[in-house]
Formats: sequence, C-alpha cells, structure tokens
Amino acid sequence: MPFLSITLGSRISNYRATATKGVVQANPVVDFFSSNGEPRFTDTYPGNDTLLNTPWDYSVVAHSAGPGDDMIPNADNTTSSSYIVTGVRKADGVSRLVAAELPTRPLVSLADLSQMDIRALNPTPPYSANNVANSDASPLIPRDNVVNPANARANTRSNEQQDDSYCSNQVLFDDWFFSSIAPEPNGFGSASGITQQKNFTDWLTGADPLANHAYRPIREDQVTDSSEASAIFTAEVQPADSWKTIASRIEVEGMFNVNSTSVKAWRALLGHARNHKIPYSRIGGGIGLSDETDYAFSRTSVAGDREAGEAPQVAGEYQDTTEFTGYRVFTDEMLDFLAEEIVEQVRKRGPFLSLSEFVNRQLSGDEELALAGAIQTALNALTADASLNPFETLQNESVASSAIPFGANVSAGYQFPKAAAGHNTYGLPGWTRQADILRPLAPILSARDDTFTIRAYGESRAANGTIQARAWCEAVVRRTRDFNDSSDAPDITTQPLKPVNITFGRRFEIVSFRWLNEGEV
Amino acid sequence: MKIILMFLCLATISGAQETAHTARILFLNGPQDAGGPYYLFDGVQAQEVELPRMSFSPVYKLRPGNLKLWLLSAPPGDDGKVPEGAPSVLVPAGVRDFYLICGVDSSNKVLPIKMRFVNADSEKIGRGEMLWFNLTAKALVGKVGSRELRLGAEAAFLVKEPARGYESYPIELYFRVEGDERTHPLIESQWRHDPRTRSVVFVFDEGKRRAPRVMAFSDFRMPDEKEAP
Repeated sequence: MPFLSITLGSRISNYRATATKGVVQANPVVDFFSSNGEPRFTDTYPGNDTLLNTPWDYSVVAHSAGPGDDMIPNADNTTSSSYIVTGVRKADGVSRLVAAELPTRPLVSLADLSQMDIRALNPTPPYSANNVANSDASPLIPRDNVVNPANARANTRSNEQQDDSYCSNQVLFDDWFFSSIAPEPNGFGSASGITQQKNFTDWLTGADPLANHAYRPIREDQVTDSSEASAIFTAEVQPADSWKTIASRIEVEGMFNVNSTSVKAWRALLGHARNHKIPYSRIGGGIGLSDETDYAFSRTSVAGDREAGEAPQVAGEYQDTTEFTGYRVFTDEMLDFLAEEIVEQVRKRGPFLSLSEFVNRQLSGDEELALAGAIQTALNALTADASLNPFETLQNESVASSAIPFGANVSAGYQFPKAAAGHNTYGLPGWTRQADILRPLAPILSARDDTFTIRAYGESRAANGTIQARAWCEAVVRRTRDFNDSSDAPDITTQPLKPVNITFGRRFEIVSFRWLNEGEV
Repeated sequence: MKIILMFLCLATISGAQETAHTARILFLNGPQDAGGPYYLFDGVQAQEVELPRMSFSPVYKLRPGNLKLWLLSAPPGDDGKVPEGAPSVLVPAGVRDFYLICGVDSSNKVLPIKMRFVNADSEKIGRGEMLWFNLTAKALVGKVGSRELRLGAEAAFLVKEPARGYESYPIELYFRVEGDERTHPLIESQWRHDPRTRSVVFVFDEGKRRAPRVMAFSDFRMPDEKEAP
C-alpha cells in the first residue's frame, strides 16, 4: 500500500506545502535556482537558507493506511498525463498552463517585457516572475528600499538580491519605448507578412497606421508619395543607430497623463478595448478566436486558454481550469471601481514626476504605498471587494500564504512580511496583475504634458489708476521637437550646445489663439 | 466539519445483546500533532486511547450494553464526574463493533474534538469490501475498479470487492454540488486491493475548496478481534 508521495515541482502547485505568494515568490519557469546548497558567497542573503523562498520544492504527502486516497498522484488512465500547477488531483489540477510566452509578434509595449525572465540565472531569491511592469513588493526586500542595506553586497555590482520589478521599471519606463516600426507578420509567430519598410512607409503616407495606433509621424514626414516615404525610411530607420533618434520623428495623439485625477478619463482609458476577438491556444493545437468581447485582459498575445470562467476545453477536466489558465474579462462595474481606485491612488502618491514612479511602488514606510504600485493597489482593492472580486473562485480554490509562515519564532528571512500575504496561485494568467492592465496602455502613458492652454489678462489704466480697458486671451501651445535655436539638431543624443537651448530647451509653437469675452473667464 | 450523525447510525438497534463492544478510533484529517494523552471513559472505566490521523487505532474493548462514551484529556476522578461539555457519543447495545471518527471542534472549550459513531459490524462490511461514508452534501458517482459507486450526499454505500487479488485497480470518480449543473472530476488514479481486508472510505470537505477529500482506511483484524462469535 502506498504510504507516501514525493512530488518535485513548482512551489505554486505543491499546495500541500507551506504556501507562498504565487509568482511573486516562485517563478515557475526559473532558469536556475539553488536551495540551501553551497552558497556562492559566504555572506548569504536573507531567505537564501529556507526552502520557502525557492521556486520549486519537494512536496511530501502522507497517505492514509488503506487502499488509497485522493492525494495519490492522479493521472489520466488513458493518456497517463498528470495534473499540475493548481493541484495534483484531477479535482483541482490543470493539465497545462502557459506561464510564459516567447514573442509571437514584434513587441509594441514595454509591458510586453513582463514575459521576459530578467532574473535569468540569478541563483538568489526572490524568484519572482513577470517583473517588468508589475510592482508587487518582495517580502525579502525592506519596504523602503530596493536592496537590503544589511547585505554586505547591497551597494556593490555583485549584489544579487534586489527588487527586480522596481529596478527594471525604473530603467525601462523613463527612457525606452516601442515604436512598433517593425515588420508586421500575418500571423502569430509567422515569418511572412508586411516588411518593416512597407509598414513604415504606409504609416507616413497614411495608408495604414502602426501597431501603436496613437503614434503619428511628425508633420515634415507626412508625405503622400511612397518614394518620398522610402527615402525617409532609408535616412531615418535603416541606419543601425536609428533606435537612438527615431523618437524624434514620432508624435502621440491623445497621450494620457498619469497624473490625471479625472475618474471619467481613467474609466475611458481602461475601457478602450471594445468588441475584440481574443486569440487563445487550442488544446489540440492551433489558435482559436473568441467571440467579440469587451474589456478582456490577456497575459500573453495568444491567451493560454479561453475566457476565465468558461468550461474547460476538454470534457471532464477540472471545471475551474480556465479561471487559472484563461484571459480575464472585466465588467463595467469592475472598471468603474478600478478607475475610482486609481484616482484615489494618484491623489495619495502623485504628482508623479516620471512614468516609472507611477508604475512602481513607493519606497516608503507607508505600508499601502510600499506594497504595490497605483494600478496594482487598485486591483487589490477590487479583489477585496466581495461584490466585485473577479478572483473569488481562484481564491477559494487556492491556499492562503502567510506573512509569518512558520510562526513568530522561526524566520523565513522576510524583511517585509506583509508582502508575502496572499495566495499560492496569485499571478497565474487568470489572476490579472498590473502589467496586464498596462500592456495596451503603456504606449500612450506619460507623466508630463506637451500641450498647454495658457490664458492671459491685461489692462490699461489712466494716470489716476482707473481701468480704461481690459482684455483676455487664450493660447494653446505645444512643445515641438525643435530646439529654440535650430543650430542644435532635434535628434541629438547629447546635451544641446547653444545657451538658449540649455536654458529653454525645445521650442513651443502656438496651435491656436483667441481673444476671450469677459463672460468666458 | 459538520456533525452528521443520523445517516451514520446504520445499527439495528432492536434486540440489544449483552456483548462486549470493540472500537477503533480515527482522527479524520486531524492535525499533525493531535496532542494527548486522551482517555475514553464509558461511565465506569477509563482507558487511554490513541487518536491516529492516517490509520485506525488499535482495537479497544468496551463493556457491553448501551454506552455513553466521553473523550477526556485526563481520567475522571474517583467520583466518576466528567467535565460538562466534554465530547461524547452514544453506543447502542446491539452494535458489537464500531468506529469513533474524531474531528476538530474548536468551539468545544473542554476538548476541541468532536466524535461521531459509525457502526462497523462485520455483517456490514465483508473482507475485501469497502464501505463509503459521505460526510458532505455532494453526491459522488464513478467506478471503483470493476464496481460502480453511487454515493448520495450524506449517505453510505457498500462497494463489493473492486478487484480480485492483490492488485492495483483504476478508480475514477466525479461529484456534483447541489445547485450546480456541472459534473466535476474528483479522482483518476490507481488504488491497491487487499482481499483480506475491509476498508472504510470517508468523503469530507476541507476548507473552501469545492472538491471534497477522499481517504480510505484498511481495517484488518485477526479473527478474535472482530469476527469471533
């Protein structure tokens, strides 16, 4: 009679073991990890000496003294395939889950990089997944820092333990973007389709927008003749270092300032995705398309499964499979709630001086601000709302993780224990995170405006001080790419040389001007 | 875990016989460390007992007749008084052999354990057979080896020998939840048959998970422990 089962697998799926907070602590596709073995350095990092902080683990399950029990590893009696991730039983295990995606099309959003394993071969916890564009704090890093100052290596290049989300967001979101001036394949993973040149020239001539639809060519590049467009391509895109200068040839229509405190504006932004057909991976191979749907958020360009909550693709499978593996569709009420919560967070955390400030958590003694960034905190509030919580089924079918997993007397190495409180399945594809919300939005988000409305007032007074005439005017001005002194080229990658440019920077142009009546003021 | 006593009382209570009782105890899904010691008190005598969670306890012999049994953390004093509210269970005189199934009852301030009585007389379960007890409001269907299982909510079901010899057999079960039209998978696995041994299987809920847990326990006895007249 079997009396014991030992399973080696992702910590997320070993739900009989002590639970940790999903992909924040256990990357299921980690390249490499070490656990309590020979340390690379004599000064070990907090959490390095406990299996709790490893992404994979042994799960030891004792069986009842009898013919069997439900925890004896289940397998399909016909295909012998077993059950993973959410459980080892047919009752609660899924047969497959897409945990990461290689790019199937050229990337268009920085949040697409959430699929990249930026930790690579780093053998030191926290083994977090989907770091870029997410903002969850790690329990192994102090709340007000990105490294642990107690580490001897904290401020050295050989440091291996840091808040990977925070650091990558800060590096990426303030300096980089995806232009989407790229080949446009005619299918997911396809090598054929529209070339980069054709895509670019169609964009300049207005024949076809870029994948980032809000991006417009600067006025001088807006041409009607395709040979002119090709010449611009040769001059501006083909050079190997064009990645340094291409931003100077793109404008964004409808750039959204993250400092906005308009609930309506945020709601409109969040609800932009209407009537979309969502591609998803079929069990038997190939890609299926959903019916038209509103407000769908998918972790990957091809969702790993059908909509969360739909029946599994294979009859007889765990009925909640898609809750974990599928894409999530939000309701109007959920988006209303999220918009209000985001504005609440903007008021608490803003003004944001850079985009990464908005994306990241705050390095702060304030627990709420330190746990996650603005959008993630809004998602957490949605999860906490019993009437709207989209993840209730996941939570009920999961194991809660504790801030003090071993009790008060045994350390898990946690520096910010509250960051470990959650569920073992947190962050699986059906559990929408900040990066999923940001993916379609990131290309148009900004922390500053380039267009301003200025109103001015003037009056004429007589010698005795009486007002003889008054006037009001309004100008809409827009910052352009050109410097005030055009002898500095607009696409230089160094500081400008002319003093006026050093002082005043780019040139503003007046878009519109009008006199105002007194009644308009 | 809900206490459901009625359906478990399979005993024929007519014609009480003055035969000594035998009992085994199980702390179903109990904590890793059940603490202790524990004493089973029949109103006259107290004996120290084990509360194992993964197997049945040794067989305990108890005096004949209708009994009220208390589970205590210490033997009662000379006056035989037991603390008010101590976990207890009634045993009909006509039941010769039974199980005491323990569960956690954090509301009990005397001893945070609840007990339920399950009739285990040998005429109910033959060697190699399995008696399933469903302690949940979910209905189970499926195949246990060569046999079909149809186990209603909060009911018991006897499965004849699911296999012939000492061999593994497939088990595939599904469950239904009241108010939910879907049929949910529960188990697809291989269990092991022992033709010498009776088995008792419990279906019970754990936490908020929809799928119930299933644990089977062998009850092998030497003839004089159970089957002797």
